[in-house]
Amino acid sequence: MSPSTTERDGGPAVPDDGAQPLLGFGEVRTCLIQNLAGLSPSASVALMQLTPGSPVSKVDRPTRRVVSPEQVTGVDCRLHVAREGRGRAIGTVLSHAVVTNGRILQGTAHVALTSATAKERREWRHYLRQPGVIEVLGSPNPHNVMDGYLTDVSPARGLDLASISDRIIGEVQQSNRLDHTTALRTGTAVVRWAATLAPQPPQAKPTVGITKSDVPNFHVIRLNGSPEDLPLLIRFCEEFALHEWLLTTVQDVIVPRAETDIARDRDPLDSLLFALNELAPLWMPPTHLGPDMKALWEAMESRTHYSRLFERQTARIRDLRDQVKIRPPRRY
Amino acid sequence: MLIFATSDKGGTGRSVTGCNMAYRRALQGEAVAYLDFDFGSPTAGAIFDVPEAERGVDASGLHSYFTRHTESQQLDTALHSDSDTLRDLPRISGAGRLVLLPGDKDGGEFSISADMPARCAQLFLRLDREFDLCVVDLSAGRSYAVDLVLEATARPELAALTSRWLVFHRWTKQHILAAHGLVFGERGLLKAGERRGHDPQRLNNSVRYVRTAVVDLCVDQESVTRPAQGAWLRAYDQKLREQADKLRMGRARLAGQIPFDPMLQWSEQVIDDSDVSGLKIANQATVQAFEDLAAKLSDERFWEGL
Ligand SMILES: Nc1ncnc2c1ncn2[C@@H]1O[C@H](COP(=O)(O)OP(=O)(O)O)[C@@H](O)[C@H]1O
Ligand SMILES: [Mg+2]
Repeated sequence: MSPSTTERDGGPAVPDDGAQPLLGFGEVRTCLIQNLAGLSPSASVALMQLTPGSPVSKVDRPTRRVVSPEQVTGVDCRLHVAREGRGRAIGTVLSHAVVTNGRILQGTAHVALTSATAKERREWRHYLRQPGVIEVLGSPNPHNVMDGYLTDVSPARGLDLASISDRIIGEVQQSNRLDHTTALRTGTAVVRWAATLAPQPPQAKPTVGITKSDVPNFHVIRLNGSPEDLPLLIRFCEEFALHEWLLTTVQDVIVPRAETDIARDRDPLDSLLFALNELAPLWMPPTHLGPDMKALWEAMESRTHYSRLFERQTARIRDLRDQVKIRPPRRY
Repeated sequence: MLIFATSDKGGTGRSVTGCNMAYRRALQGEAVAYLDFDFGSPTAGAIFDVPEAERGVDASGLHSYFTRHTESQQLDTALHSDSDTLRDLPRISGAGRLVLLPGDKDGGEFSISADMPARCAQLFLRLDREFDLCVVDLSAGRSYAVDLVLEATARPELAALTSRWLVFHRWTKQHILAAHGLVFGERGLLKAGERRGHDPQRLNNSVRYVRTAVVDLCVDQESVTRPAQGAWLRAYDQKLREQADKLRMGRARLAGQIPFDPMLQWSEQVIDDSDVSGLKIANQATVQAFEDLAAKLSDERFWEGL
């Protein structure tokens, strides 16, 4: 892949020449912002100002969500196709960063794939007119393209959305607006998703399936919807990624550490309070974002029971906190 | 915390000691990353017994992270190592993870291009979000790897991170002099750091020394059989200590002293208590020295300004 970044804003575009997108691909990374305190609203906005002059979008409720302008990265690479067939991908990938409640940072890269409008590579001008669209030369079967993308483990061989979403995280975390102090040591979680996009009958709703992979902190989502659903699907994946990160962080990092700390006579209170005060309030399923989002979220919940699991973990954290308060560990 | 492991000469025991120190930290409950910055001869994969990284990995090692802008692999030793010691780590209650960021098989030293220090800082920042401790195994001498991390740690975004240096050397007259030169020499760490914006005084305060493969007269009683030999060794040991003191490498700056261990002499590996108590192939004193060195890393009184 030969990425070249130009900065321009614009949402996911519909390709010109009337071609319909067939597939939507994306990757979301979620981590904590490297700053001791949570960022104020204005600091969040300043941090998300990745392209001077382009608007940063901000929503205050139910959680404060600040989104950077879209960045455009040009790509021309071979697709990693599962089973048989080959294809070449030419066009542009969009990526943006999101800050939630001044604490959580997400980096998202996404793209819509369509069949090529010509037999050969066209001028860059053509691809730049449709930011977020990649044309596929050759005619590999879309199912094979989708499986190829979803199963490609690092090092990426095809369309490398992983490094684009990673790069945006790296750039934001390096900003001189942050004090670079790690408030809580946790991993970065990755959600990779792919959607089949086809015109749907009027009443049809988008659908979702989620797989946990063997790789730690890595989830794969498959979605179905119409081409117009793409922005909704992108948002769903970001919301899933945020909640999945919250659950993993509380369940696999904070609770086990606190238990070890207590067993070894160390003080776990800081991270317990961090979980209760900073992370628990972020649990805010996006069901208010309309019936389609609600349907997607509920389909996900009915399989994963994430909300119930998260509630159980926060209850456990309260127990641990009370336990520590009653019998404070020895301080050295 | 970032720990930079360096030495003037190759073959000092820097990697074997560094890997064992990292393992002890993980046992003590920390999430630990081990970064193989010995681009020319990455050996950490072999010491951790990770077959796919035996001499560095085929692609996406730390060398390609800098020279080809690929992501760097993170190999959790519990999953990728053939060593029982490392595979068992997650089963020890309260233990942290030990993750290797390997070098590349066909690596080699490279000169530093303009974007590398920022990329290096970005890597250290990312790892600091996830790991309590990062051990950076640098190539011997005043290498490009050393210049790269000096440049990266002088950057403002790394100012909030704690960076410390361990200089490994053998316990001989020549090796003590060489280690001294590496830090204080005309082309040494302090001068090089100063040129990149470090305060040499502060930098010097973050440097400590580790003596490796030191013949321990108490442990090796069998090998020192004649009284004259014992007396000479004790006297010479005393002379070396005086030399180290004079060169500002004395007790106050001594982070660890690792005994000579016949097992490690033949097999570069991570050892644990079962090698001492069960199989009885390693010495208790060696494991204890690794444990003490690991504990010293976060002993704030020890690292305070001298
Ligand atoms: N404590 C020790 N006792 C005996 N031999 C050791 C000890 N530590 C290291 N060695 C030996 O020293 C050699 C060099 O060690 P290594 O860690 O690879 O050095 P470096 O990383 O400094 O090049 C290895 O072959 C190893 O067997
Ligand atoms: Mg080595």
